[in-house]
Amino acid sequence: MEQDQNPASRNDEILDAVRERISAAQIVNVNEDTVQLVLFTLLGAYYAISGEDVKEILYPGKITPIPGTPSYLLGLINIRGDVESVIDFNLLLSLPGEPDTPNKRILIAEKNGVRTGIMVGSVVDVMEFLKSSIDASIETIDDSRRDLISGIATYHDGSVTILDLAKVFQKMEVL
Amino acid sequence: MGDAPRHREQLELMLFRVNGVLFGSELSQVAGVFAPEENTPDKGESTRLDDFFGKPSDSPGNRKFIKLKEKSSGGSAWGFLAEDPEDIANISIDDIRPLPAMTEKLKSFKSIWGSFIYKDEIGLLLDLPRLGSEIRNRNASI
Repeated sequence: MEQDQNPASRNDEILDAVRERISAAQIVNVNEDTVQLVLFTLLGAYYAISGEDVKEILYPGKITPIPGTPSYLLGLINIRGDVESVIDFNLLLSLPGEPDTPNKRILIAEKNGVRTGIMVGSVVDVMEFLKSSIDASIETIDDSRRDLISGIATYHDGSVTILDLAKVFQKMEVL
Repeated sequence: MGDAPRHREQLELMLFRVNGVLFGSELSQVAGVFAPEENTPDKGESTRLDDFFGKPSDSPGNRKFIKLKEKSSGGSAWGFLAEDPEDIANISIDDIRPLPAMTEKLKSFKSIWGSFIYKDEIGLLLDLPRLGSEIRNRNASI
């Protein structure tokens, strides 16, 4: 009977099963290239940028606007005594403005030596995606945004638009 | 090890606001501060900074006329209207920050040359003679 099984032996069995699962997961990682993405929302829709480009996630504080700059440049924020710019992805993507909610966050991102804060509606998740699961055919995307997108992934039965930060910075002419 | 030594060098700034945003300009560039309605001799031309910076203010606060030492190219005095030009602050060089590279590339007013931290608030450093050139260039192009 199962109850008669030596407890130590039962524990070993459990540990063996756990090790097997971990090993299987590692095999997937070894055999398939993955990419880490930071998932966020703009007006409730899922977007993502590469996790390699995101240095920090902050709660929004006071933003100091700068006269004579494009409207998508929201202004400057104080990060522990340093000053950083903040941009509005909604405006860059020709989307309506994000409503003010407590979920808003600022992603501090850096690509090719250009660093900025990015205001988003909320941060949803940071996770690994198999590269093979990302659809790089973006013909169906609206023309105005197609040149900023590197692919589409799936998250909880919804689609995630993956933005290429280098392309975004090129469009802003800051690279 | 202790903290890094702070620079003794300071900028003496006159603080004022435009549309609520804190600005600081070197006090050595300012000739005086006057009430807008004051009948000041040789007050010269004035520019509303909120208007020049593209967003006329509905609630301008305690607006005053700041007269500059530098004369215009025509030799007349000039200045500008800004809000709450009351405080003078000695800002350590350690509290001065360059504008982030992205902002530096995107800004259209070269007279905004840096930023500073004052009582945990970010202020913008404004070079008044350069601002004068920008105002004159804009007026000449209209």
